[in-house]
Amino acid sequence: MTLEPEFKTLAEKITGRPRRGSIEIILTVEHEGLTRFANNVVSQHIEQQSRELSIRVLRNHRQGTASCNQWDDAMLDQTVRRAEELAALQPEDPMLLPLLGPQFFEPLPRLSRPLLALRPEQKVGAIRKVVSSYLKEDLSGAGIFSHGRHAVGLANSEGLWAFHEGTSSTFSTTAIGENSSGWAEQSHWDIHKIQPPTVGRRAAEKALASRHPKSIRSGAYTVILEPAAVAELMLFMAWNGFGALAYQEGRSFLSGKMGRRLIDERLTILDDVTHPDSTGLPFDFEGTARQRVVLIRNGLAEAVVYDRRTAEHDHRASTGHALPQPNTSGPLPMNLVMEPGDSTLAEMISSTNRGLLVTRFHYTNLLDPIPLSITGMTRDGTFWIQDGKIRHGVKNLRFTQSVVEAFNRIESIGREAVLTHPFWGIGIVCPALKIRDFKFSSETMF
Amino acid sequence: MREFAEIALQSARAEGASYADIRMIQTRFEDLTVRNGRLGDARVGETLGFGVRVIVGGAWGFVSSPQLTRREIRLLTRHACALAAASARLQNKKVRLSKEVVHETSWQTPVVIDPFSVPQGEKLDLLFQIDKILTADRRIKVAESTMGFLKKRQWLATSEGTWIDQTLIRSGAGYSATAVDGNEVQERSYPMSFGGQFMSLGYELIPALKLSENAERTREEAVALLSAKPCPAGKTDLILDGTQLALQIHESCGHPAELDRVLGIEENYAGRSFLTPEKYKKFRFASKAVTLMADSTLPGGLATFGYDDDGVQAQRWPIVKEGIFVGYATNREFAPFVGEKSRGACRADGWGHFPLIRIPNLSLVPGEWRFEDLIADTADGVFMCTNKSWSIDQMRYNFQFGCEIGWEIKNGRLGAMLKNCTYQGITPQFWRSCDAVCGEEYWRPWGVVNCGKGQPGQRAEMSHGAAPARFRNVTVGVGNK
Repeated sequence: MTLEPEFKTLAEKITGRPRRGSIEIILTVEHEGLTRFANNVVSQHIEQQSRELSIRVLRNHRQGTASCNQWDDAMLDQTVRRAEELAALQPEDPMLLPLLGPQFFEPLPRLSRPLLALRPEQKVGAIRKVVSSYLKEDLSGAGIFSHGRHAVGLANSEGLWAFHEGTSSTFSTTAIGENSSGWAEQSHWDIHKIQPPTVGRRAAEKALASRHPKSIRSGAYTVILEPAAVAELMLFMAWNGFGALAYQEGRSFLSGKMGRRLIDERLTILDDVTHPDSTGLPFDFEGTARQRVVLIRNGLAEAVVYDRRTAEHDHRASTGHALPQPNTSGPLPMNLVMEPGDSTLAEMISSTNRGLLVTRFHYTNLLDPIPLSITGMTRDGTFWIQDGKIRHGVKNLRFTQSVVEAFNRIESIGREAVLTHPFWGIGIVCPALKIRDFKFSSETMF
Repeated sequence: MREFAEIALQSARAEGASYADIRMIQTRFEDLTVRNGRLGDARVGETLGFGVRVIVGGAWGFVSSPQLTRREIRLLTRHACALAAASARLQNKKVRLSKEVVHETSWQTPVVIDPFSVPQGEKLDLLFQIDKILTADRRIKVAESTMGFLKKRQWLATSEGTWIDQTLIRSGAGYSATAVDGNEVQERSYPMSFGGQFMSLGYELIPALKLSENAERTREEAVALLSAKPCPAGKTDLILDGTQLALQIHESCGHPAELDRVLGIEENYAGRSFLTPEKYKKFRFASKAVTLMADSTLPGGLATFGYDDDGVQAQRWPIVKEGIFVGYATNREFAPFVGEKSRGACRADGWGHFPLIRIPNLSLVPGEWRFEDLIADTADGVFMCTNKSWSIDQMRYNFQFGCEIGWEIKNGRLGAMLKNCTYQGITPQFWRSCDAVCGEEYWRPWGVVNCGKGQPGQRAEMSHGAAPARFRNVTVGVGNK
């Protein structure tokens, strides 16, 4: 059953109260079930529910926010009062924008039906099949099988009403051998697209193929980065460059370079909530309809994403990428997509004389925002390619590399774009990339 | 609360649980940020909820909900038992908890001034005052000043008879200034990066941090970094300040000593550890100058409490003693794997999450060096301060850290300011190269408030005490020309 009527009743109760000034509420509800396994047995099995009601009060060019997760009258009164008190204590902000009135949103169906269909035994059964296959290969398995449902409602005293609910599911696993490991993951809002045996087989193949890894020296190599590794690089573009606030403050790798060719002309990167794999909201946290924004088209810097405040600064309209107000991050793209190319992974490997195949990166972090230099480790399946063939696994390496520089050395682009979730954050849809002269700065012990 | 607890424990028993506990938590929070002259972020409010954990058939089940009602507790406890029963179908060894004393007690963080008794206006006035100092130079494009307070009251009841009523309070503040000029972006923070210094103290911490007094210097250093020399690339002696050492301890000793990681439980996400059981009490982790002490009783520590989420009393124990690896962080589930009782390091991120082994307060025991003598004793090196970036492999061997600022050391004297400071190493080699640790007068516990672990992700807080220390022949300036 949809949560919308319950949300609407609560919203009307708050926005309909006698007040001075305007009021906005954001309601979020999450319900997640997650079965975790390690050493081929279930280690944790949880179902967690959470909810939050955030209230923002605007009065005389001041704003205050407060939140709670109990919806009785006394707590609602107290939360409104806390928001009002906080607003009253601030200096006037002449740039504070009034709340939006009613808006139109194209609905975005993202509910896997039937809702929350997986019983605990079904998830354990799916995991059992995967770890049984691992046991036959003398591998140990770890991972998660999760599914969840979330809902977000936004309402205000000016008549705005926005509501979205969706589902999510992930099967992620690492197969561990004596001296190697392999990882694979599948994630989608539609649980019927999740195939644990396929994911498990991919992880096992990587663990087996990378047994007895050999050491190689750090240096510049041609790399084939699978989508999970590419997503790690793109995440830093999203956080450190594609938002208007970083751009306006000169902290973005795009600052002062709009309209110029920045990366390989075969690369196009956009924010697209309408992508069939996206799990995002069709509106942002100011109530603006979320637009599809091409950020880099054929290598040319074309746009950043805006909320209403940064849009006003540049005399343009919001693109619908606001976070809850107020915030220190500014607008951010939350549904990043890199358009696919025309190469298969097999073609990328067969055309490589000497190079590395990287399954995923671990613990990447930003060093310098303008060249977008980042560092991180390879993990769970790194392979040496020679004369067009995968020869053996290699011990993991640390890279220290400018993303802008790397995206200027593209050899080929994968034909399949896949949804993956980087270590620190949002879902990103991207293909594999083959890049020359990718810089590895040091080695590790395994 | 006792009535709610009894409903959970009775429901669990009725479903055949061999163990059950319920944590009910009420949290009040106040996080204020002023950014470039306006309120940048504000989170004030409170939450309430419960989490029930059961063992049925030798396997765990866990549920949580914000609806603290008799009906919800009864229903969800039954569901937790169903989750556990399903998990029991894929087990090879039953979960057995280490023996623990039953406690019926209460505990509270000692504070002088309840942070929620201080008027919000006073807090905002200080943040706006700092903001004004930081933004006084037009090259500062971003100034962010933050203050945060948390009060958490937690009731824990277990089927073994433990009942603990615990109130934890913490406070913190700090700021950063980001200078931009063309393609240069440089940031300087005070007292440390990522929000500032947080401790389990009341509002008395805030004036003690001397925030306004350091704002002008912080701004000037951010601006000076724009034209500073890049950190030279190569191998040299490295002196780290306490704030950077805090994260070095956290990533390269704290996480690898978590026994659940060691046993492979975190394999799919955060990874494993090189501190495997065959190395226990034998492995030379560091030089003799290094003793790393875990301490859940540390005054002001962010992971200081009376009892952990297993109901185990706070303890103090060494992880590394004079260089030898001698201790793990453990909980009741995994301690028996190394033949021990729990060290009391089991904590969950609020009521909504399953408790995990988390890094305790973990500190580098001070040495005897005076900082001035340490610099004078270093012929050629770099002094680095304040973490900027961090990265480490999933076994916790290869790390690379970036610092906001550094200074050359030439012939025993601090020289030119350095920007883009990084260093890289392999954990045991690095710690074995430590030959000098400064004395107690330089030692401070530094708070980490953003430690992530687990699936679904959980956040935890802990402190790492450190005084400046020297490491010989370290790779610095990675990627710099």
